[in-house]
Amino acid sequence: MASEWNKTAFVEFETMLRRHLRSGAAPVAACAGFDLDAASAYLEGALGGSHRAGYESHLAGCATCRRHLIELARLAETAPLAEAQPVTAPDRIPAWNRWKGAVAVWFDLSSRNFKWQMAGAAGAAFAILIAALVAQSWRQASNYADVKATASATPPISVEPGVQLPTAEPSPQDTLSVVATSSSAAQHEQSQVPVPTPPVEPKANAPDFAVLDSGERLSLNQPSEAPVARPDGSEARRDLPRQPSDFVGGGDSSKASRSVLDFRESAKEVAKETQGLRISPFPKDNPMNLEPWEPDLNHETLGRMQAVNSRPESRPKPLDKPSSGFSLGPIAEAIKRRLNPSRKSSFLESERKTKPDKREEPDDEALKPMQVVIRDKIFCFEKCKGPDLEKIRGMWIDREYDFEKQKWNVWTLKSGGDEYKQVLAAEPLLKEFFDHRPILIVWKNRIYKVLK
Amino acid sequence: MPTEETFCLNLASFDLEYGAAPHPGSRLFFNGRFAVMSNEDFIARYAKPIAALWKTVAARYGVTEREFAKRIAAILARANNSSQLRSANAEDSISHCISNLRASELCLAIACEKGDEAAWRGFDSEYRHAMQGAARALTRDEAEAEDLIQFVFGELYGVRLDGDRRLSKLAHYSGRGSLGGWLRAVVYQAFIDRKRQTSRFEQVEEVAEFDRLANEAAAYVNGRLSVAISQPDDIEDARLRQATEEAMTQAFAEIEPRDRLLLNYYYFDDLTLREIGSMMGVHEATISRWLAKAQREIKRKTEEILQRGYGLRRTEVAECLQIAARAELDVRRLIVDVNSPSIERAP
Repeated sequence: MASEWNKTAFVEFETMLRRHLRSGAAPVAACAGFDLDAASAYLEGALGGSHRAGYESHLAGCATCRRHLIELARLAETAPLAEAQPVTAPDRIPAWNRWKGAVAVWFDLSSRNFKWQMAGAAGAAFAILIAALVAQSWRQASNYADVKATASATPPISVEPGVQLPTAEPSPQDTLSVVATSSSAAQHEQSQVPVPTPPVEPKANAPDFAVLDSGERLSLNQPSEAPVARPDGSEARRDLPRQPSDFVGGGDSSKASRSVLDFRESAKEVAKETQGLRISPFPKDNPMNLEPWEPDLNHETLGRMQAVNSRPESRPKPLDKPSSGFSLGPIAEAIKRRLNPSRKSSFLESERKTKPDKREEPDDEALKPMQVVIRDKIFCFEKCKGPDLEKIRGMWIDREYDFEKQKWNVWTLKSGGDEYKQVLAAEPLLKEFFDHRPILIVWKNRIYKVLK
Repeated sequence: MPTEETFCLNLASFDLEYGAAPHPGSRLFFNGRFAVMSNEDFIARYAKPIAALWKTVAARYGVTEREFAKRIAAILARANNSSQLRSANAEDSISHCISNLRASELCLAIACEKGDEAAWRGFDSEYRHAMQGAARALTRDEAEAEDLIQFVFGELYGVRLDGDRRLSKLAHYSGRGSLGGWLRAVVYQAFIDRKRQTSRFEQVEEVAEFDRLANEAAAYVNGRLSVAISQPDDIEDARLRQATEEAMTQAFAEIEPRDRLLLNYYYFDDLTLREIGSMMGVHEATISRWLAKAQREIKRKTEEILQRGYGLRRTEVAECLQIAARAELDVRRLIVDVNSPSIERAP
């Protein structure tokens, strides 16, 4: 018997079918409870062969399990797993990642030994700094042979660097005294060529005093154009803070040497101006701060850090993939051109970078992002990419806005729209802020984003 | 060379109660007979695939191969054999199942169960973020999400004790699906349980429950007590309707499970074709084809049963369906469609 399938008849049948199914007439197989292991495996297609058929047949009968499965599938869509890096066999983990891990352990904020780790890190930073100077001086030595003759008489690079540095630095003195000792030891080794750049490479363990060995061999054939001649001029000063970041950031030696070369150039210029051998690796008006996770998480910092693939485990608040496109491309370009590295260049959280990391100084007037203060709230102007990724729009972002934490709780209001009017009616005080649109403001535990 | 045994996992085998001890042995369908095999024998017999799997583990976190093997044996030991689902294809062979397990994630789970610190650090770094994302998607409230995550981590670590052994939820991870997906499901389950303030997923006959609600609601359409379900015109119609219902029930039992599932998804859960496709891992167009086929099939089957079982002739069958449908339509007009499991039931 061939049943004729015509539409109207079928619609009626469909109605009956629906009713039948919903009346619970379908037999409910014995369900011992929602099997979440099978469910998650099923959704991933990992349930093979007859297991799958069996589970499907159970699902066909059990409305509860089905419901949960559907909710789970929807959840999977809303909150997809970031593609985890495939766990490689230990011997295949590149040294880079291992070093990252080690550094992450150093800078584990939750660790009890944080202070000491910080101190150790500070010591390591200085050790690397010294190595940088060594490398620079080596290059100088090799390229300025004529200077050598005159230089031999000059006093060696003083221990001052090692001594002066800690003044602003809460690190334990012992580390630096070691540096100082080794530097003073270096005084006796006048003709030694300092180690080449490879030892400057970050080592995978704790404060590496092996690096100090290179410091021992500080070449003293330095003219007054000592690499350590720290100027008040901004150029060289800017370069130097970059170097620890480059090195610690695991840059390749070419990058290190490149920065050293830059450094040398600028040092040469400035050395002519000053006579002191004072090292001030960071702008002198800023206290040394070696906490890369300084909770000065204003928006631009976050945005920039987002662009860099930061590691979740080393941060108190792991960042998502850049989804809202708060990229600081234009600003980064401007910064790069002016060669203005930041004291807080994330020299530990940064990954291999193709260009040197430059973060602007918060108090560098020339490059400060536009800011406005409305009623005691500070807003920074952020450029962000529009949805078509071609236009670059801007928006005033409340400094209190914690991007990572709150981005999913944003109320977007189109000016003039119903919601906009409703919100304004409820909170008239917001009018002043909204008038400054486009703006994003944190207000009474809500986040309002007002578009033009 | 021993033949490959086949077995199938029973769905109810992975129970969610804490403290469920694995069966002492595997009950396998071996060479046409049921056989019982102890865990030791199992490990010995399947040493090769287990060893091959063990090699693929990247980070061992101090887990020994022995512990790994025992865990695999326990996973497969929880399986009962169901003869009606038995199939002889190679996919079901035990070796195949073993080789498809996710070794690294399983190893991490074992290590975490043991309480290894390095393992927990690794676990935290890899999975906490995803779990938080899932929790936030569920709760829409930061504090509640954090609370939920804390609770789940407690469950995973094992805060309940059984003698001197910690009971960790990780014991229920079977290694078939990814650990991330499993964790997401755990977060979901915890959320649901807390929301309903029950200790486990409910087994209530939700369908009947909603139906009762629907009937109650139907009585108060537009705030007035209206006439209830319209009575069939005469007894004959009622009988026909009854017959159709029964025939349909039987037809449902006879069609393929997959078709059954599809019809349920479409007519009960009201999923779109695209959603069904994403659930089953196929394209929307495929689902459309399958569904049409299922619809034709159920209709054909129903008619066949009506004809066969009730002795109706062809024309009578068509008429029967028509009458039954008409009665349904009248009924449906009065019933508010509350058949949605997302409804919050009154406490």
